[in-house]
Formats: sequence, C-alpha cells, structure tokens
Amino acid sequence: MKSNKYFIILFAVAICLTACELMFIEEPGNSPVAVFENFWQSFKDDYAVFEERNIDWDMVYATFRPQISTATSDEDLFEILTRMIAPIGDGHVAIMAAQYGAFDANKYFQERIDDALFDLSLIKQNYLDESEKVEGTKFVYGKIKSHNIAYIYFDEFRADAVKLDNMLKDFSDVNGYIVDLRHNNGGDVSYSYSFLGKFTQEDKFFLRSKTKNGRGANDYTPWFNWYLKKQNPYIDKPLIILTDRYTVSAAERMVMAAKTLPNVIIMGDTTNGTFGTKISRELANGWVYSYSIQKVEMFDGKSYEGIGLTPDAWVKNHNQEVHQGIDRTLQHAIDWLK
Amino acid sequence: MKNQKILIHLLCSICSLQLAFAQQKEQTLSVAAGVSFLARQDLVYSPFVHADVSANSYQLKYQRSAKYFQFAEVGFTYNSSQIGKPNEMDMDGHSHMMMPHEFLNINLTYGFGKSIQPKAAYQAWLGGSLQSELQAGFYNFGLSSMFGYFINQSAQVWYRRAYTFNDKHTLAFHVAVPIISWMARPPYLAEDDEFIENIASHKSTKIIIAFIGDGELVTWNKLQRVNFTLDYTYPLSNRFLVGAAYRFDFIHTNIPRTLLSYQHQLNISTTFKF
Repeated sequence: MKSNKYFIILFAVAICLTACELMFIEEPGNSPVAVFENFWQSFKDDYAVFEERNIDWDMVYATFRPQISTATSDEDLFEILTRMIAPIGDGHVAIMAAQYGAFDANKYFQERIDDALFDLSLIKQNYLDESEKVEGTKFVYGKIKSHNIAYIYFDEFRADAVKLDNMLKDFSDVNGYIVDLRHNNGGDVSYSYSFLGKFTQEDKFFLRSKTKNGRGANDYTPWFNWYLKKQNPYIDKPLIILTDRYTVSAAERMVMAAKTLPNVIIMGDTTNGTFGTKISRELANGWVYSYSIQKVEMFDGKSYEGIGLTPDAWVKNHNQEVHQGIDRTLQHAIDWLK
Repeated sequence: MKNQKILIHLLCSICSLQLAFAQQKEQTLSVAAGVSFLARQDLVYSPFVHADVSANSYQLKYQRSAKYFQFAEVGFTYNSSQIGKPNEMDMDGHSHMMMPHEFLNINLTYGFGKSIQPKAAYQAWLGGSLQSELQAGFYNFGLSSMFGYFINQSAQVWYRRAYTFNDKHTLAFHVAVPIISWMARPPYLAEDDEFIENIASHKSTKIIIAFIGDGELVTWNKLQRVNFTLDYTYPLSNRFLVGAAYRFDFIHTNIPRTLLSYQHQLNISTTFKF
C-alpha cells in the first residue's frame, strides 16, 4: 500500500510537470498591433546605430503607430514596417515575408542602383586569361590577359574565401594582385581579413567594436580590439582592392584592415557603410527581420557607419563603357600595377 | 544431533545464498527509441516558444548491478519547429523555402551508486553521476541562420527506486539533479566579438571547445535542471526484456537571458541481460 502511495504521488508529479509549460514568458501576439509593437521594441532594445544614422526611433513610433489597428491587413502592415525602416538605410536592416518578398533598408540593395556597372561575365570574358582561370559557382580567379597580374572575385565571405590563399599560391610570381570586393555581400567576418596578414610584417590594429548586451541605450560590451595578424610568408608586392557601393559588412572590414597597409591601394567607389554584426529575429506571423547590434570604429577612432569607406583612388564605371565591354575600374587597377 | 546438524547446514545454506544474491552481478544493455516532445523558449534567439513532436528519440543504456550500481547512457533527440506555416519565398525569380528551426540534443551520462534498500521487490539506490550534454539549435530566419547552444557538464546526485510485482513487471523511477555544473551559453544577442573569435578556426571541435571555455561554474541558483525517468520492463525470457520509458528533462537559466526548456520522451525499449 505504501508503494502504491509512492507511485500515485509520482503519477501526480508527472502530470504537474506537463502543466509547467505555463511558466513560459508571454510571447508577442499575432495581431497587427502586437506585431508592430514587437518589431518596434526589438529595434529599440537591440539596434546599435540609431545615433550614427540620425534616426529618432521614438519619432518613428509616434508617426506609424497611429496607422496600425486591428483591421490593418497583412499587406498594409508589411508596407508600414518597410516605411519604418527605409530611412535607416542600413544594409543589415531588412524584413522578409514569404508572400511579399524581402525589403532591404539600404537604398542601393533595394533599388539596385548602379547594379549594372559591375558585370562579372564581362570581366571573365574580356580581362581574364582563359587558360589560367579557376572558377566555381561563386568565385573566379586567374591572370589578367597579357599582364603579369592576378585577379580574384568572390561574392561572399564564407568557405570560398580560402580561394584568396589559393590565388596567392597559384600566382606567386606575378607583379601584383587585384582583389575585387565590388558586389561582395560580406558574410562570415572571421574569414574577412586573415588573408591580408601576408601583406604585413607586423600585427596591425585596424578596428574596434562593441555589442549591445542589454535593453538600455548604453548597454554594450567593452570595446573589443581587432588586429590584423602578420602571416608568413610575407608578400612584398602591391595589392589593389576594388570597391563599390555594394561592398558591405565583412567586405568593408577587410577594407578597414587594408587601410593599415602601405602597399595596398583601395580603388573604386565608396563602400556601403554597414559594419556591425547582424542578427535575425522572427515575428508571430512568420515574417523575419534583421538588424545591426554593434558599433564599429576604425583605427582612426571614427565611425563610418552610414558613410562608407572612401577609396584611395576614386573610379566609377560608366554604363556606356560597360556595354562596350570595358570595366573602367578594373582597367585603372591594371594600369596602376603595370 | 542430526536435527541440529541439518539446522546448521540449512542456516549456512541460507546465509550463503543471501551472500550469493548480494554479490550476484546483473548487467543489461538497452536500446530505446520513440517520441520526443520539446517545448523550448530561448530569449537569446527568439521570444517565441518552439514546440514540436518528433519520432526522433533514441537512447542506449548500459547498467550493471552488483555490490554497486553503475550505468552509462547516451541519448539523442531531434526536433524542429517553425513560427507560422512553412512557406516558399520568391527571391529574384528563385524559390526559397523558409526552413524551420532545428534542435539537436545529445547527452552522455555515467552514474555510480549504492543500494540503500536491497529488498528484491522494492529496491532503492542513491548515487552520483556525471552528465555531459550538448543542445544545439539551428535557428533559420529566411536567408540567414544563427547557431544556438546550451553546453553543460554537471555532477549530479540521483535517486532510483524500483518495484517488482508479480515477479515479472518492474517499474522504476529515477530522478537526478545537478549539484554543480559548467554551463556554456551564447552571448546576450547570440553573437558578439568573442563569439566571432571562437568560430574563427572554422573547425567544429575547436569551436565547441572554445564555447565551453567561455562557460562558467553554476549551481542551483543559476541553473535549475531536473531529469526524471519512469521506466517499465517485462521479461520475455531470462535474457530479453521489453519495456517502455518516459523521460522528462527540464532546464531553466537566466544566463545571459532566459532559457526555459521542457522535453518529454516516450520510448519503447529492448533490453538484453547478461
């Protein structure tokens, strides 16, 4: 009988355990108002660069909250949320809904301004020596036709970024290198600058960053210094990095590191101006969104968030020339290295 | 005299038999599979409760009962969950499926204890165990994803009670709570500079070790954790048993933000006795 009592108690405990799910923290609701509030509050709590981008987020609330009611349709709600984030202009700020697609807060990405000024097929066809070209789905590298110069393009910093080292190994006898970061989507920051370590004989401090770690406006981790670590073998050759307005995030951090090196020239257009680490979040209706959670300062102590990094030599392609098969920026780099 | 001799022999036999039972070793190896129900809320990644039922619950357990009670087990579960319905999104003319979040739990436990109630029909044990667990979350948000983790090494105290009735059916419950743990959790907003530094090697083992290195020693005030198991076995023969087991796992911590997780597993088991 005593043993039966124990097992009855056990059974009751087991039933109670299943009821413990009531202890979860209340989730944001799925009504248009609740989705709006959740969206706005997430930015308020976590977004790191309102100040740098001159955004009064409380004013955004005051402007848009009156436009939301329980009768707001999904389509209208999506449109309102996009109008809230559009002025931020941050390449890491976006919202995505299956039925409406993605909206990017950065004007260049959203409207594809000057997108056609970079044409990789033009470069592969007119500039790269076919016999020495190495190509994958998201990268290409090789020698420039009739020149002892190596060139590489890849669209994002991920596992393919190791091709940078492959290029250095495969073309160790060239006069110089061109790394094309135009239309590079950034990606994994941990891949983004180690390659440059071969172009320096000493470690270089190149940026510092701090991350939101609380809901308060001043809740950040301490500043974290990032160093470009020297690597062997040292390559005493010129390197040109090409940039445009689509050079973003991890690619821009590579440009920051490059700016510490005297034998590296940045050429092209100003970069996008999006530096902080990005995270993603979800809403109760299944939509997802992203934003930056870090402040970043270059080694000169300045933030270039929303401004971008200016090149050492400003060059911009012309539409007409691109149609004629000429990449002015790449040509300028080739002429520089000749 | 003869009756006295018989009585002495009988008493010695009884004592020998008892001694033999006390030192009799029993080893079992069990394989179990079944259903996992997970409800998990991790504010580092999302304010929502991710819940799922899946037929991906597996466990392998070795148990040795002699002078001491020992067990070693490895468990694995997989669940996936998505806010809203699965959807395809059109991105620049390409269709992209919005993938659910995925949760992978792996745990290894070694336990050692002593009988405190050796009656054949109604036994109890008390002991300690070491548990190592990795709970990985792959949070998929459209075109981007984030890696979540709860990595825990703990020294636990456990209590086990088993009741055998009708000489065949055995019902046992086992409860374990950690005394001290080394717990590793991600940063407040999932990624920060130290996190990026940790993943810079791009080698899974090195990354896991780096995450563990950033953990901290916690006790019950910072990590509330309970494992509870209720299992039933029935012998088909002297060597084989079949059974069912219910397992409950509870995790609660506020480091760096609230993680609240309930997992129920219901498994069917096969046990080989040797």
